[in-house]
Amino acid sequence: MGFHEKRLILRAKAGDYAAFGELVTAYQDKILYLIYDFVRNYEDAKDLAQDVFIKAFERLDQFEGRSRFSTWLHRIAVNQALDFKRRHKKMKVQDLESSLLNRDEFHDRQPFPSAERSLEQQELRIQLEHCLGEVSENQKTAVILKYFHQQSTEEIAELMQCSEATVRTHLFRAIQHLRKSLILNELDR
Amino acid sequence: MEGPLECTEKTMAWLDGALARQEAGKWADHVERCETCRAFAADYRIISHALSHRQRTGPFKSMLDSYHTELSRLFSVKSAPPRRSWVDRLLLSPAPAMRLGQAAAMLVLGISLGWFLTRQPSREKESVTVVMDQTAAATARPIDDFFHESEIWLLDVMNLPQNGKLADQEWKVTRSYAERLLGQIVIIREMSKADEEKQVQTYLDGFEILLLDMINSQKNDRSEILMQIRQAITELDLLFRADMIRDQIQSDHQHI
Repeated sequence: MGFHEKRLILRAKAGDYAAFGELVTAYQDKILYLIYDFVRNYEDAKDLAQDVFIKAFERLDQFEGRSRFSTWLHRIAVNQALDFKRRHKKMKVQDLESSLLNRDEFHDRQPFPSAERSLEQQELRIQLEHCLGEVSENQKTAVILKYFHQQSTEEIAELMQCSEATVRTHLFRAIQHLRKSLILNELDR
Repeated sequence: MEGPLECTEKTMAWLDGALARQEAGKWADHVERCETCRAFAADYRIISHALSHRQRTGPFKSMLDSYHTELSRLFSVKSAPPRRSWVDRLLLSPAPAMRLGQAAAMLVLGISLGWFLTRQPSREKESVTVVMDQTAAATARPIDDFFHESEIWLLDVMNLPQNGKLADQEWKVTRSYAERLLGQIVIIREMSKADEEKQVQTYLDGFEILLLDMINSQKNDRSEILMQIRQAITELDLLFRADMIRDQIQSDHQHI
């Protein structure tokens, strides 16, 4: 945690909204995308992300600086997203394929190297995201944090409140499942 | 020899760069020889690459803009009340005449302290330690020792003669940090007396940040005075001790 961030947290703890506003600006997109990866709907993700920041501000007194601020915030976000999922088991899932085809209208785009390759990559990603729906909640959480949000095993362990070995097992099992599903899909073709 | 489960888990760690250098080298050799691990490694590379480099879909820009606006509206409405300077905090009375009297008293105190410190120019750090050891024996609370020592050091900093090696502006910055730190000590002492643990902790955090700011304020300046200041912070272990005291207060608080 940088000095600047530490300072902002102290000011925010003293009730300074503007200081917390700076922290919000720094993390708002990361938190939105993280929640989206769990709930798969941007409108819900937006509402939940706002709740995360409100909750974080209310609980700032409980943040003792033992973990990084980002880890603490991510933990609130993951818990919020998982709670939401439990409450709305039959969620409306956005149509991934159509959203990929309409990607011109989306905020962040990255050019793909070649059309053919990009199509293969897209298919693979769609398959993987579909298979990810079949693994356990813990395995999915570990995969989302590691591969989508580039968190280290140590950070994930802190966030999921388990040991690093457990995180590695979740990841390993999820990858095994994804691999198996991809191989089966390949054989079906 | 590892079983198939451990084997694949280790291959994942190897490809993620989580193995130590020597172990990674050994595992690379193993993967080259073992067909099962080689096949798994190839698949894992594809899967982890696809997961890590997936193209994020959405959200619509308009939605993202409204989200940012709503959040900034939520958290920038109120701003913190302006902080009073340490001089203001020390001068308790709002009446101008009383304030003047208090300021004069402080000035006399400052001059006396300055005189006392400057008449012992050859005083070494060891002598400060001796003073501190005596104080430590007299008082049981580490927080008192810590601040007594910090105070002496800060007064030393403020009384260091401007020797021309430091630009006026830099000197002012250093002095202003020392002043603010002294102010912080006065507040912490008051709170500590009133047993307001939580407030003490918050101000201790502030003290620590100010010290760090002081060290970093003129990082590129290698002038003698600033080097001395940095060295003193290191020698007196102020940061480390601030941490220890905070832990002590926390454990005392939990115990109560």
